[in-house]
Amino acid sequence: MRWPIVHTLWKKEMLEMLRDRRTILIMVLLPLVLYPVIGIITSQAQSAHVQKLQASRLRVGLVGAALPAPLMQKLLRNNELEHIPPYAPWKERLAQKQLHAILDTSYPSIPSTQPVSTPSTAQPKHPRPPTNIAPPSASLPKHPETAPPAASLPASTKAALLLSPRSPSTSLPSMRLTAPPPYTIRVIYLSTWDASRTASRRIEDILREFHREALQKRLQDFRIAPAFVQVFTVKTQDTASAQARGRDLLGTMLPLLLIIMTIVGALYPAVDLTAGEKERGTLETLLTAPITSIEIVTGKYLTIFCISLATGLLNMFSLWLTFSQGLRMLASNRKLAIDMTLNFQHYLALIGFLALIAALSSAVMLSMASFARSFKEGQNYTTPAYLLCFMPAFLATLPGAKPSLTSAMIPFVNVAYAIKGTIKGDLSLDYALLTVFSMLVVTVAFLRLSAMIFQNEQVLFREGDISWRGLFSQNTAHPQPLPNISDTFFLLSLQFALFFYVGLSLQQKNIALGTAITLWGIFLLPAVLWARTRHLDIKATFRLQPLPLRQIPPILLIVLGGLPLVLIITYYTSMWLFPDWLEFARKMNESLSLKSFGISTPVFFLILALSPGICEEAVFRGFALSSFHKRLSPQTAIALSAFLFAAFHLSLYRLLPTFLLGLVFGWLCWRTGSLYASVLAHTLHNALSLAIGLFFAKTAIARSLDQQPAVWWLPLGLILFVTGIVWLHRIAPPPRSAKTPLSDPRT
Amino acid sequence: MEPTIPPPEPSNTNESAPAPSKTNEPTPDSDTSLLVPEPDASLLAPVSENIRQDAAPWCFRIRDLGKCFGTHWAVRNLSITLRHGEVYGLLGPNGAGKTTTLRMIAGLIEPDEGSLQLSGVDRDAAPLEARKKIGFVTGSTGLYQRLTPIELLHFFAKLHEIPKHDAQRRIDELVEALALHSFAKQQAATLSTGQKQRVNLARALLHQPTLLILDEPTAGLDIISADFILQTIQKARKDGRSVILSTHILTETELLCDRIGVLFGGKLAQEGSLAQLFQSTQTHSLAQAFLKIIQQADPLAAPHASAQLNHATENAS
Repeated sequence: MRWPIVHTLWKKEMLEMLRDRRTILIMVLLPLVLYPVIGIITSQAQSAHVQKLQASRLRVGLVGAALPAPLMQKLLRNNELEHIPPYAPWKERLAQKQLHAILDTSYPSIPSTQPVSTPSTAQPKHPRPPTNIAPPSASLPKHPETAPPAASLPASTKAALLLSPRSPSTSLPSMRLTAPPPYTIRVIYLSTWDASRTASRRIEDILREFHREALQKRLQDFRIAPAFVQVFTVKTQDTASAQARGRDLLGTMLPLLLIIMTIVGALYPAVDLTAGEKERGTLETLLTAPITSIEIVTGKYLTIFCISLATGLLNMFSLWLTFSQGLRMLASNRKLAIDMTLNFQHYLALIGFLALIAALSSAVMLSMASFARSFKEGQNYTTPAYLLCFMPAFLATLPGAKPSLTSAMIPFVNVAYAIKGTIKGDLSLDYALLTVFSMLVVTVAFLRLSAMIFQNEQVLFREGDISWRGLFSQNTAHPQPLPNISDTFFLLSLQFALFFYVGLSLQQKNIALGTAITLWGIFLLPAVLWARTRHLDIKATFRLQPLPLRQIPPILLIVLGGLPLVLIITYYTSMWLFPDWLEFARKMNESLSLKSFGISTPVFFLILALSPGICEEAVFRGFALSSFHKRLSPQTAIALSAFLFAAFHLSLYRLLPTFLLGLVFGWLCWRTGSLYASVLAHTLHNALSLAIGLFFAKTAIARSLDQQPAVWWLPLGLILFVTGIVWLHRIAPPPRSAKTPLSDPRT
Repeated sequence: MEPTIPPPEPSNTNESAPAPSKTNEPTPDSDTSLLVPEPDASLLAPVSENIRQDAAPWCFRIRDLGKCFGTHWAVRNLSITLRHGEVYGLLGPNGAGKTTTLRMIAGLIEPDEGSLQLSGVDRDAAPLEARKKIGFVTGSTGLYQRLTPIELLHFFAKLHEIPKHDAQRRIDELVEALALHSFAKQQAATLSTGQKQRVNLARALLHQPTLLILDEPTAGLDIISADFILQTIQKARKDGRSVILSTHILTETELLCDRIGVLFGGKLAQEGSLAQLFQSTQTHSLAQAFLKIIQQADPLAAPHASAQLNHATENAS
């Protein structure tokens, strides 16, 4: 890649994008003007509307018994009252918005058998003996609320009993305080109508106030201090500082908005620079220029990245300004202690995370938009991608969402958490590092996809619909008999994801069944399916060549000699590298026992010796080695497949031994040209190791092999191993070079 | 870095063998001869009266070019050789593979078979070097809407790695030659179709290509603009550039082309100078010759052509 060319491309794309009013609109105007304007307008419109509602007179309907005059007075102060007969269709009138709310006193009271007073048995405990209470009868009748309602109101017994104690004289001798059962006043309103909500709130406030006053009067009549009926008051105190509160608010709102706006910032330029260019007929001039498609993709990607990042930064700045400005306005009205200042480190971290978001969303949008032939089609492809990107992040911003290390592997979700954590100050370093790592890995994958698309003429100049097979196959005229390296890359990535997320959890549930499913379903099956869908030559890919019988004895020798050799090398290097290696080896032997599997011995060997032999060999020595072999030298191909084989064992301790075994199996497969050679060796090796663990656990051999290999195993192993290698080397015909004839299908 | 091709042997340059009427016979040579041009009469011979008879060394050659879409071969076994300053007209009905061929030559799509050599550069070995020698314009080529012609030319000059001073001089020349003055500093979105196509030609000529590929360059242009384009092609030919031109306007072909190839079904049905085509088809106009060639290739392809042809020949006689 020539960077001056990339720079030229980038400069031209930036110039064009910046001359485009739509870019400026999305990138600058939208964040800088829209947020403050919308914030101010909505808050002012809201408050104006509320004020207007509060000042207006509302129509309230009255159903049932009359209310006491003072209450009526209070209600009439701001509202218009209308009496409605009990069976009138008042619900409809509310629905038709003729009335804002309805007060219903005809609602049945809650039957109360309990007197209001404390029972006599409790009286001794009472702080105020009832004797202190003045007879209520003297003052009660004078109370206005107990007076009979105005003559105009329909008389009702219920209304008469409304708020007056029932015949106070009868309760006097026992000195029990009795009152009529609590009376229910129903406030009917329509929650979907804001004026009705205001009316109901207003009425409730009046009723509560009236209730308080009435209660106070009753208590006064009995000469009870108001504090008497109040056992305690509740008061809450928040120790969060103004700063912490501000950051909590920012941490909840900022991540999602930033992610959304940064993705939006990438969306338009991505579509314009790919699908837009195709539509305008300029892409072919670029493609006929003496530049590589990688240079074009890089130039375009950097442009999209810059615009996306700038959009994100401007949004961050504008949002923060709007928030803090809005809060300052609020704070001047009410006492609101929220401080939204962030320090330098916060900004640095936020900019870093924004760059990650911009990097990934630019790559995603670039690859999606590249499929499209026109601007409109480009929008059709990028919109779902946009939703897929930010919807998971939305979950992360929900209250109560907790970051876990698994979430750190999920792009966008992890950044949402990381931004939240950065602002709130509880982001752990390993979470941040995992976030950076996973975002970068996915970004690189999408960039690779974009590059593939730009190298694929079928996508660039296609006339019909997208052919996915067309994208991933380079040449349909000449079906490739062997997989490409990119096939192995995609297959192993898929298998790794399946293995990591499905296989491991299955193994935790049931180790025997889980292992079997992992081997056959996650390793062998996808490899075979992949080979079939890509129309590969199954026999050549998996090297299904018969193994001559005379080649079997040297393979047995190699395995027999190789086992102690691998163990000795592993033991000494591991003891040196990992001080706790013995502990690990012991645990591993324990987990690989019949007991932990809970199955019979033959099945045990079937799952742990034969299955890995077939499935792992098919993937690593069959599929992967064949694809590497096509382009690379045999040494590199074998080493690479051995490394992948080792990496899939997901253990730092076992990296070296599995790598060495991978080398041996790879060589066997390459030399004999038959997968059966390495299947045999792998199966035999596993079976031997397991057998030692199972049957000779207590013997010197096991101890010697397992815990501290005796030095004399070294020459013995070496002799067997080397003999086997030399023997096989002599009797197996030199493998034909797969590289030359197969790389060029035309010959 | 790129393997240079030895100059053609002397025997090649002196060759002026009479042209066989058909040149699309598959060459018996195996692939091993790709790098060493061998005397090949069938590929070099046909020369019209306009071109000097001393047979200048070929400047462009494709051999056995093929492109397959899915299972359908859009183009197959296509071999064309061009001399310096030769204008080659590629005719054929819609869907014959003209655009695919020109895209393959321009390097926009990768051929599935065959090779391309361009003034000493093998495209497979040095694809970028080959692109530096090719100028490409189609009727649907667009311009960057928000760049001015001057900015556009400077941009492509940088992509072609032309030194800044040379680029400025060359752009001044092209502005002069293609009369771009009046709109050289306007954004391309405001230009007319004819003006845009002139800018496109300037872009294609900017890096002094040896081969100019023109795919219906006058499509949608008025007579004046089209004439301007044709004059530019004539001038490019005088400068020694080879031109491969695809068009549906037969008068343009008659006027410009030294040699004409008729493409049908992805194969070269016939090739030769105008006179040779008239001779081999026993006709007197290019339209008739074209129809006859197509009819010979596939009688079902032009069902009404025979009546028309009979009528035409009757009139002529």
